[in-house]
Amino acid sequence: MDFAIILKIAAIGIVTAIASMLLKRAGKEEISTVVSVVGLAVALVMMLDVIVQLYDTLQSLFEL
Amino acid sequence: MDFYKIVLLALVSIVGIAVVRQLKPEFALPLTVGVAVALLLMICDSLYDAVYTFYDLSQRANINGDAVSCVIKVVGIGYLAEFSNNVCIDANCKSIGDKVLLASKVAILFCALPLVRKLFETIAGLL
Repeated sequence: MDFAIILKIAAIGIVTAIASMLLKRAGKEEISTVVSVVGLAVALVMMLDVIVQLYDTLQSLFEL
Repeated sequence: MDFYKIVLLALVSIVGIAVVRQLKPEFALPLTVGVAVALLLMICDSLYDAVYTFYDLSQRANINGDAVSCVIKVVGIGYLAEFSNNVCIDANCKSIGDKVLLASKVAILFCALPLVRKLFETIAGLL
């Protein structure tokens, strides 16, 4: 389960990078920036989800 | 989770982070945090037994309960603060990491104050 999160974030990073490169080649500059911003937002939300999970385990482990 | 799997995952993900950093620099930070948390969750499984045996031994030696829970809470706060400080250093915002460390010191102090007060009361009682 833990590896899936890493692979998902890496996959999103690579997909958005390629998509924005392709869009830049096709001449649509503004859409490529929008795509990279959306990809970054999705990655950050997944990072938040992982951090919440970490905090729950630490809380139950150390009775914070 | 044995040790070798963790080392292997760390090395593989370092390579992955280097690749993603080339393609998209801003994706390196979420990936780093994801890898760090995944490694920590793997370590937490064996950490449960350590904390449980620590509690069990202290129960057997009938040490006062909230002293032990305060020690374990301090360890937890210390580790969480150190983890977020490292994430801040990774994102090269060292000043924010220092603020988090200061906050964790204050939290540890607040956790230890009741024990200190109880110590003073017992000493006053002895005199």
